[in-house]
Amino acid sequence: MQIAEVTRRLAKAPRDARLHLRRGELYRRHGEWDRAIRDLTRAHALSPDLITVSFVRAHTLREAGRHREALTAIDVYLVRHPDHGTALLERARDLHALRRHAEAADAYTRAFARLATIRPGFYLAQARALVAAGRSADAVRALDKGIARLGSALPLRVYALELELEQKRYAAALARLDRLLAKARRKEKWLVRRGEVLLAAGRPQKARADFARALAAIDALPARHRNAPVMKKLRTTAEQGLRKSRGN
Amino acid sequence: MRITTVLIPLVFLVAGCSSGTPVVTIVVPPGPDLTVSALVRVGATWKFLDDGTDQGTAWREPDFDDTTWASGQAEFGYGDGDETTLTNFGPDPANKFVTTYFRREFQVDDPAQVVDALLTLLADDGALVYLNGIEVVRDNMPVGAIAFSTLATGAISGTTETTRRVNAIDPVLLRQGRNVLAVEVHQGDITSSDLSFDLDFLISTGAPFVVRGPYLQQVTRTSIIVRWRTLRPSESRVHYGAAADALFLNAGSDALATDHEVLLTDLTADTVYYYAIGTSTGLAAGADDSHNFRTAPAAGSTRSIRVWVIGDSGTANINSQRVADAYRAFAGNERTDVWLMLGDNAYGSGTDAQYQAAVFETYPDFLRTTAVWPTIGNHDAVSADSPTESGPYYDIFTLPRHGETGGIGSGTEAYYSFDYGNIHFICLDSQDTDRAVDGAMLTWLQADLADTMAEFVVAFWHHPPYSKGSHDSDDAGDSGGRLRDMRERALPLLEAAGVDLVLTGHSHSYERTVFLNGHYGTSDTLTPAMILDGGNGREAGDGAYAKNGAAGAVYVVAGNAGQTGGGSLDHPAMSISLNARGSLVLDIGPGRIDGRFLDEGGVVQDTFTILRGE
Repeated sequence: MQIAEVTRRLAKAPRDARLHLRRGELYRRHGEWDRAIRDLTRAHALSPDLITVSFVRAHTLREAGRHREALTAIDVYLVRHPDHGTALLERARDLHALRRHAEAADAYTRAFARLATIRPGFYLAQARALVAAGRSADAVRALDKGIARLGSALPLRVYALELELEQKRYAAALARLDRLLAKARRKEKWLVRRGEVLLAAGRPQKARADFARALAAIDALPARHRNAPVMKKLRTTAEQGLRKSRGN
Repeated sequence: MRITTVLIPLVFLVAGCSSGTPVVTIVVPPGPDLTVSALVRVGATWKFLDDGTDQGTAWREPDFDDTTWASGQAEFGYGDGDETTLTNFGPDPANKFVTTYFRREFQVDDPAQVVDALLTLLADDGALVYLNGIEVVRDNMPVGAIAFSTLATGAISGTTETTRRVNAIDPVLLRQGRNVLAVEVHQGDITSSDLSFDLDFLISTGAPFVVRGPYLQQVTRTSIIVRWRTLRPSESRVHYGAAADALFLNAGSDALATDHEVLLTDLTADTVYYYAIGTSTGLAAGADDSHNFRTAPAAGSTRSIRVWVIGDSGTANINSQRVADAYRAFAGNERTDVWLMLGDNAYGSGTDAQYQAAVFETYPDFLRTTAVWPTIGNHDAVSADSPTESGPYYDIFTLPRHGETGGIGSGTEAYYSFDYGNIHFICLDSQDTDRAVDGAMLTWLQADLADTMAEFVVAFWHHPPYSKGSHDSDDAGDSGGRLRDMRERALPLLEAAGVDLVLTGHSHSYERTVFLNGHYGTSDTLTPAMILDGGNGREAGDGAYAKNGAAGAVYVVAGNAGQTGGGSLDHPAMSISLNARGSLVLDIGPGRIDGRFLDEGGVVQDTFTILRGE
């Protein structure tokens, strides 16, 4: 409906860059990337000084998966607005998609410094870029910055835990698990994970206790939770862990 | 208002609170402090001049002699058929007079007592308003000097023609005794078919005018957030208590704000509180029986919970009004405990003005009594900047980031969960958040599901996993693949944890599945094994859906609270598909969920029941 209205206005004013920008944005929202990019490219040609076009065009190109072009467009925008937090974030996401991981990680850092609100997913993305760049320890530090800033950031805590384990930093992993356990209303998932970490750390007796506690916690759940597929799977994992901890 | 600070045991004020002797500010709220006066009312009598002459600037002044002008009652204008007084546009319909003048005087006894003034203007196409010779409103008119021949910035049409626009007026411009409002209404085009003018002008001697709300957010067993908007910055204060005439408690902030947000804490579970909003010295709204809320019941409560669900409701027209009216009539005096909005809450772009019309002016009674829990739709997202969580959707709603309302904190307002009684509600963002299984949202979802002890789990978001309405869930390209993504990635996680009910919008229809499990592909992959109960789910029909284990859920598309959108409506997973406007009403009590689709005419067109077998 809105697209039709803007198209009607464009018929009267075909050289109106703002109308092309508006329609391009609407096409983008409907996922019609080619039409959107065509309008935005036209808007840029009609009014090169309308710098907003570069930003929207970059965003659209990124959504269309054309990251190389998106990066070029966002860099044009950043020349005029070098401290624009969202634009810096877009740039980081493009670099990440282009597998320029180290640059992406740095770009995320620059963006985070300029943004008042950062979603957990972006910290996660930065950590993944760092891991891909071979900097797992830096990734853990980046996640901890995110945790400190966001407070509630369970996905960051989980990924940090996994990275600690990959680096065989069992004590650090256990400390992270203890923090998760302390906050959890239901403990069984974290107890099983703790048992697995203890097994990996060569502490089967401690592991056995955690697997046993997890199984007891599962048994204590109401049937509606106990019988959920995810809990059945967890029970199997706990039972396997228990056997391993006994050396079976 | 008299305010006294005393030492009093809190236990005397709110049953169930801990004992002790904290300092409590006791407010004795006298009703008269809610004092609003109309200086000029809608439909008032005005002097006017519509002869096409250029009056220059002298006519704006209070002392101008307008005795030769005609007199008439608003609404003024021509061309719409709703005018009380027709004005003259001149001899040539293709060259209408651009400017028509209006004047009205009124008396103010004591301007020093006025704390706020509000002028609500209806002007088609544009207008300038002067108070005692000073320009106070410029509506749809260009910047700079305005001449007799200056056209409005543009011709207005549609609902904008009948929208009354609210303007804050500086009360210091009021004089003791005689005051004069002078208005010049300009056409946007000399061939325009219509012209309209009316206004009202209110003053308050209590607190600044409220132009939005009050509305409620994040209700829990012990807390709630009250929000409202004023045009004039003021402190934020909520007075509350067990009765409308006993608002003995208050909370708030002395900081000046126009968008007010006050958290009330230490409330008692499952208890009705009455409230008023305003300042320490005056009330702006409330202190009556219509401003109240009930806190959430404690976990383990056996009380049935009423949930009202509207999707794609943001049309701000008679359609959304009719849907709301049907529910008002259906509910009667029964309180709505939980109110869900399934996205596209304000068409077409989710701007602040569109939210004003589609939400705040459509549901004012619900907003002040029931906390609303929204999800973001594609239209809301046009004006919202999701990466930075800014823009109208994020500014208007205060949603839990840190598990304030139960569940695990997500670290973002884009997706969240909350507990209400024995129900765990999960809101996902299908629009603007990474939908990867190892992304932040779905990682959080798994942890949140693994942490709840609730009897029922209800999830909601915007894009439907199954639909053959105005959107097709079989089309991988529909809405950027969002329907497919949510079906393929979110549903397995939800079902693995035993979700009971999933609510979505986006398709402008009502579509409700049979009792399903494990259907994550396109509709042609649906097998009998995925249908746990293919009946209609009605106790009086094929029988309720019995959830004996953890498997089985009902999926509802209800994006029809503002419009219908057709489509083939033949998804094989559906028990019923309707091209009708309406809303979904849920009653969730111990061991059962009862759902009803209530159409805009007040007819229940579908019912279903899920019974827990344990």
